[in-house]
This record gives sequence, structure tokens and C-alpha cells, in this order.
Amino acid sequence: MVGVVGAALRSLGFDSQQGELLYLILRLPGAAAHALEQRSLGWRKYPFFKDAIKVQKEDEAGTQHG
Amino acid sequence: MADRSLEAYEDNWETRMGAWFPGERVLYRGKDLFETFAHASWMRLLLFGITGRELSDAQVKLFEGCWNIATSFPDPRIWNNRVAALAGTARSTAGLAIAAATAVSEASIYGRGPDLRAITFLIDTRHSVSQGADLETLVETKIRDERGLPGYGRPVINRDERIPPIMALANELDLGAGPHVALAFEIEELLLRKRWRLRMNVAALVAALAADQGLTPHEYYCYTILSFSAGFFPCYLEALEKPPGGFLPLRVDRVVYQGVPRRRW
Repeated sequence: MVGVVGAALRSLGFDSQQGELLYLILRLPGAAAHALEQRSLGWRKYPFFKDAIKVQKEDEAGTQHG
Repeated sequence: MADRSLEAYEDNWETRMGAWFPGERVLYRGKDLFETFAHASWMRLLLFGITGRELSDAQVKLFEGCWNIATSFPDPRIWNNRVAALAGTARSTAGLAIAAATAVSEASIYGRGPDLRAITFLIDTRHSVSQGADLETLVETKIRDERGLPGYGRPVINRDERIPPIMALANELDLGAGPHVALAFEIEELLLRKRWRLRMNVAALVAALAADQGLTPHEYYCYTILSFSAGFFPCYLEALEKPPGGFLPLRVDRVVYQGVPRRRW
């Protein structure tokens, strides 16, 4: 999607810096909507992913193994 | 300070903080940076920059140890570390990752919000008690008005595992017996004795230690700003090692949309 937007902005005559800045601005309303909704849900509804972390061990050489 | 019009500041920035003299030297709050701080710890320089005061070796070690113990967890489940990891998974830069994670550290129930409220509460409470106010009444009023007590209670688990190592460090440095630390523990004892069941969290303890070292609330707040940094970088870097978008993705059908129906143009 980012690539599609980039291509569209290029076609509309924006250079890369202009396109990047405009893209950031245009994404803000959606981000704001998510932030406001999450705030109204309260801190107890924060998805903590409690069981998603699985700590792996590193051997003495510094490489990781399961 | 007299109010001066903006015209007075045009091409005119008077500073006590110092300056760079290209090719020569750097002045840092009146001291030669190269001569005075070349072998100093960065924490010493940071605290001098914030307060303008030279702290003792023990105080600098205390403030650095508090960062190491209390706020350097490399766990991306934690809200601000999560942002650093998300920046990595989105292939953003380290600078933006750390800046964004630092920005969200100004949270209201974790991080900077409780830090500032805790030190203000402890300093104000100590002053009130010294003027004859009743501690239990002060605590009860605060809990009633704010539905909580800054520096006490913890959302995920009530006990705070950081308190014993920080107190061990403080006592080893002979800095653990100050009046604000004593007050912080006295408040915890009061809370547990009464109906509240709130234990001290590390925000109260570090705030108390800082107050005992003479930091004002705003100086303390400034000191805390970068404190999570050592935890941010590992979270960001590990997300870079894994596929783009690979940090705890959610499949589309796990999002249960309940908003307005799709618009028909």
C-alpha cells in the first residue's frame, strides 16, 4: 500500500520529500482515531501479549539457539 | 525577570549554558568540557547539565544505578519498548525509534506522568507534615481526589521487584536514609495497615531518593527523560533481525470491526 501511494504521489507530481511529508500528514487522522479509541477502552484493555515472549538462550559464542 | 520584547532577542541569545568555540574548546555551564569531563561518566555530565550543580560520586552512581535497575528492561511487551520494536519491524531508523519510544514514555499511568506526580506528592507531603498536618488525612484526601496515590500501586503486579536492589544500592552508597525515603516507606506502611492494599512502586522510591539529593520536581523530570533508552535499543535491534512486519502481527480477522458500515458511494 505504501508503494501504491508513493507511485500515485509521484504521478501527481510530488517529489520524494514532498510525497513523504504528505503521506505522514495523511496517515495522522487514522492513527489519531486508533489512539482515541484505545484511550476510551482504558489501560486494562491494553494488549500485553503476556505469553508471546519466549526467551532463548545464547551460547558462549553469542549465537542464539532455541 | 522583566518581560522583554522579542526585539531584544533578535540575533541575541545570552547564555549561561555555554558554547562551542570552533577549533578551540567547549564551555559547558562555565566549565571547560574537555578538561573537566573527558573522564567523567556521562551521567555526571547529564546531571550537571540539568541541575548546574556538581553531584558527589555516590550521588551520580545512585542516579545511574536507578536507570540500570528500574527502567532498562529489554521487553517489547512494555508500552514504550513496544514502540521501539514496532519502529524496527517497520524498518524505521534507530533515531526515530528511540525518539518515538521516548515520546510515548510521557504516559499518564506509567513513566513520566507518575514520576513527576510522585516527587511532587512526596515533597509537598513532607512539607505539610512538617507544618503539623496529619499524614493519614493527607493520604486519604489524595486517594479520594485522584483515585490513586502517585508512586503506589502497580497495574500488572502489586509487588515491585526493583525496590530491594535499588534500596541495597542506596544503602551501600549511604544515601538510603533520607527523609523522603523514610516518608515513602511510612506511607506504604500506612496503606497496608488500612484498607487500601497499595504497595510502593519504584516511581515513589526513585522520586524519594532524588528529592533527598535535592532535585526539584522539574530537574527530576528532566533526569528521567532518557531513562528507558537502554531498554529501547535491544527491542528495536531484535525487530530488525526478524522479517519486516514480524513483530507480533495480528491477522486481519482478529480485528473485530464494530463501527459504521462501509460507505456506498
